Amino acid sequence: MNVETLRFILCALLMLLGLIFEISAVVGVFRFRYVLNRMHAAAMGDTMGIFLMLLGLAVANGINMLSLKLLVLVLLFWMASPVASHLIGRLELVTNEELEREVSVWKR
Amino acid sequence: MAASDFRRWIDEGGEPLDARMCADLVAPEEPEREDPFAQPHPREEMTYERISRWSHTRGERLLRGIYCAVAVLVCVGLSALLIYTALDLPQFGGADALVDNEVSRFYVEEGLEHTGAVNIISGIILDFRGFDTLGESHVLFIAACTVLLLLHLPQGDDPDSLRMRMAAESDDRHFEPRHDPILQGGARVLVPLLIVFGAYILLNGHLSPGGGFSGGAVLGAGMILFLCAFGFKNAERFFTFKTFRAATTAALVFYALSKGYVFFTGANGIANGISAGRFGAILSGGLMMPLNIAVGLVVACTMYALFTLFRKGDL
Amino acid sequence: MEALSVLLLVFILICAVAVSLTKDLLTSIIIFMAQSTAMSVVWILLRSPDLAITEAAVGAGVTTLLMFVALKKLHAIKTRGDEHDGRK
Repeated sequence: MNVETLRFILCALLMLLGLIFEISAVVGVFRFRYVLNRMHAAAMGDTMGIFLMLLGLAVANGINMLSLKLLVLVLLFWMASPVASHLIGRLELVTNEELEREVSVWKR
Repeated sequence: MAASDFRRWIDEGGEPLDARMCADLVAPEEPEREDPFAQPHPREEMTYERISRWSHTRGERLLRGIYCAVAVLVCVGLSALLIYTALDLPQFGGADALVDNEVSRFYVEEGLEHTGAVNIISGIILDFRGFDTLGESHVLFIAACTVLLLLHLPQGDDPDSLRMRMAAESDDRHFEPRHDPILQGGARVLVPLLIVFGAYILLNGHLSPGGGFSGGAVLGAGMILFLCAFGFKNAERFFTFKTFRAATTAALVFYALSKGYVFFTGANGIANGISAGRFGAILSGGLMMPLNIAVGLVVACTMYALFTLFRKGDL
Repeated sequence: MEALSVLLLVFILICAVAVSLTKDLLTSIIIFMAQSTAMSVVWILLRSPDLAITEAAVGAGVTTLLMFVALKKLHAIKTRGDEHDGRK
């Protein structure tokens, strides 16, 4: 087993794992009932799924400039996606009057 | 009647068709006639009611059906025409794809020599077809001006304009994240990245994919993110109405001065005396980079101004 | 690559029909954004990265943002109190 095979296996494993995360995120968005649950599922796909996918691509590509760009892309997603999820959650908290019936809200 | 009345209409803003102006347009009084619907004949009434009922129920449905059928027919017909035309085109990237076209061959083979831009698309849209791009930037500027006309709130101190601005303010505050620490933390990292990336696309437009429009859009998105995270007070430190006016006007005037003459000379550009430079260097391509910067400034300012006008009614 | 472009084109067609058939303006804007994103991938497949960048930045980003703001200005976004939609 040489290095190329090892790298291919690692890349395939990472990308498969990322695909599983993405599929579960999509299923979650369509199957969950409440906005906060859906937001949680979508955010998971945007962070972990994309991280694993891009890591797999970077492993397949080897160490060069393109891999660095892929990792910067991961950083960008990790900065942007949780903030967007936080804003959606905050908007839901502000606008939904019946939130108490869905989840227990801890108020300051 | 015409001149004085017209001037009066302009000056005072009165109705143009008031009684005196259209006195000779009023038809003479018709002689009294019996109202046909006042005391209708029983049979006439039945007909009238039937027609009315028909036009409100089955007639409406019929018309709607005809409308839907015609709409579907037009859509399908246009699509079929388009697909039929597209089938005639040579295959994408095929061997016989437009090699005989003189213009595109000239662009591909000698564009680099003429414009000095490694990215030939940028060379085409800013040099060979610079006049098109001048028009496109003016379209954006006119859009911003129109929105400014339509949505601008009065800035005076009288109670009416104060009330209007208060209403817009409370409307804007609705559902809006204010002083959100998580958003501010994210924006602190993302806004510099976006601005740097936009500037990179803008300045590198003649060397790599990108150019004025995309770089300006990224810059505008960065500025909008800054506005959303830190509020109007902080955003006004770097972007006010004066900035908008100065930046867009300077960019458009520069562009028009450097490319407007193409309207008279056709595609034959006048040599501008700036050397094309070494291919692939950042300072190459003659006027390409300044023109890219001008287009990018117009696009970024327009995006930001549209967003601000929609939210606050002022820049 | 052929299969991917066919898939993307079919997706764009479905989105384009869905945008005009959707009653809710907010939903149709989101579908329009998805269509724009798929369109930018198609531009990359057609090897014109210039257009892809512009489509992603203008079509998917800024246009959607401006349309959201316009809807908010028109009070056209339904709030939860009006109607129980967006939930099964």
